[in-house]
Amino acid sequence: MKMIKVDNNENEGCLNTDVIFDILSRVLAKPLLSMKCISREWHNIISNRSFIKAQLQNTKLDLNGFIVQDRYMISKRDIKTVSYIPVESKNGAKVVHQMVFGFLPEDVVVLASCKGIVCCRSCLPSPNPTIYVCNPSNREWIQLKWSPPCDITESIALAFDFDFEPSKFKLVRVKCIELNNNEDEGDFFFTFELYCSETKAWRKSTEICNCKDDMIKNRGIYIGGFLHWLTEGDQILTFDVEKEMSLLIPVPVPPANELRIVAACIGEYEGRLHYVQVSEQGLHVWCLEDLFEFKWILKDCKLLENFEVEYPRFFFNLKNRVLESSEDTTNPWMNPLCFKDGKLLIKVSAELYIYDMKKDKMVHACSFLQLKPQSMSHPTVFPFSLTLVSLKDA
Amino acid sequence: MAQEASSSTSSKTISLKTGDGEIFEIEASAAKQMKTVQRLIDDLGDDITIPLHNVFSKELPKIIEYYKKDITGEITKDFEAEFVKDLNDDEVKVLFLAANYLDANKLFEFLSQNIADRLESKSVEYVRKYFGVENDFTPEEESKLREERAWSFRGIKEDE
Repeated sequence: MKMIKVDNNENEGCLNTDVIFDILSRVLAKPLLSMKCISREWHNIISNRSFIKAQLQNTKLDLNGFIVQDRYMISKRDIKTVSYIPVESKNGAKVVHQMVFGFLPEDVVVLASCKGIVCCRSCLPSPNPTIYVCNPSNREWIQLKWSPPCDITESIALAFDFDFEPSKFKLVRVKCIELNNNEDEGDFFFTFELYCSETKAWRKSTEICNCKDDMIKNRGIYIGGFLHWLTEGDQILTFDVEKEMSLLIPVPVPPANELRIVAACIGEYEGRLHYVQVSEQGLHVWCLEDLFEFKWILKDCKLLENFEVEYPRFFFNLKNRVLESSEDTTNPWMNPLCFKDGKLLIKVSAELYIYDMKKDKMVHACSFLQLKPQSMSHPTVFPFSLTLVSLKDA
Repeated sequence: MAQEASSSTSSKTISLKTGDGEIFEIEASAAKQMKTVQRLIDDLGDDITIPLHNVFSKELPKIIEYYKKDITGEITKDFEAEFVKDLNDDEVKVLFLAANYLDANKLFEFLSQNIADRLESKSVEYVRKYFGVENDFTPEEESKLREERAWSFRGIKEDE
């Protein structure tokens, strides 16, 4: 007769390791990080490589908060202030954290955030410019040299997928160069350099992209193998990381021609690129249905007047203020800073709000002053999710 | 749903006897989903009352209810939500352990996910008690861990 394995401990409510592994692999990263201190065995389970792989497959990444990076001023010296605004706050308290990257050896400027992994760099000027790729949840990081010429305006984006080996990633360094031909005006191009974590080497790509406009909000968003950057000229610079091909995707233009687009940002939701714009017509959220066909679909739309009516304390006289400020594109009255998973961090005057598109709910996050801003220009904001992923090699 | 044509399983019921001596009937096709039961049937024959020492009369009816729905293909998200709605955390745990003992894969995965969802908002102390786990960290080690965990910030209050 076959023996059936029965763990007698089950009667007492003590579960064996396999069963615990199964349950825990379905728990989100944030509570799991707390559970690491339950016992030594649990700490080992949760830190284990194959557990992390199973957990990544069984759970989806939750937007945990927004990293807010103050941008350099005219003097081309980096500002060291980095803040973090969590999406969930206890009792609606306004919680803003500084020193979030204090575990790194120096002050940094955040460059990219992808699936819980963050890429940052030394603040300029620096005697030894370095790039860091880190996971704040376990305080692990790796570093690589940031080879000169180090341009304070350049963007380094992070391409990171869980599907392959969790510790594999690519960095794409984008610079804007001017090539002068015989005529008076120079022509502007984006160049691309790729770093591969497997080869630990940089390589210049032969691909260049002719574009007269510079990147704004300088951060590349990685979705489904493509990196996207918003440019000043209403185009989205897109780069296929595998094929090393670039293209420019025009932003969606709403039917009314009178529209002056006031402020915009891009972000990922449900695996697709979204474009969020604020204009006199209100807040519009578009989804890129087909990348190569440039096909955008309007997902959500809310009039400024409706914001005024629903949130009179926050948005008194919103529409007029937005229209008045549309002349000054450097500091719009209502400025969408970051969009991810249906949540939008938006700056209105001197306050920050989080708008949940799915629930059609706006909450006050904090005042802009709590971020201790030193520059008047809008900060660069990155979405952040907690993961257990370890960057160290096996 | 059409039943299988095989005469040996089409309307055959199996008798199961719980650890506290009660007897329940299930269809043979449902019994197939519980690998432990099926192994016992293979070894003891399907005419004998199958003894299940580690499953009790409180849980077995619920498990049978689940698999009754499963063999007719009627398990939906709504049904699953209803199924666990009135169960407290301990009741779910007992059901889950029973599913584990019975090697009933579908129910096991469903309840495992349900427990994972319930644990997300619970304190460390609660989770320790729930799993019957001893804390074998020293106080110094534990406070160091709490400091490092979950991206600790200046001025943040401890969780409950």
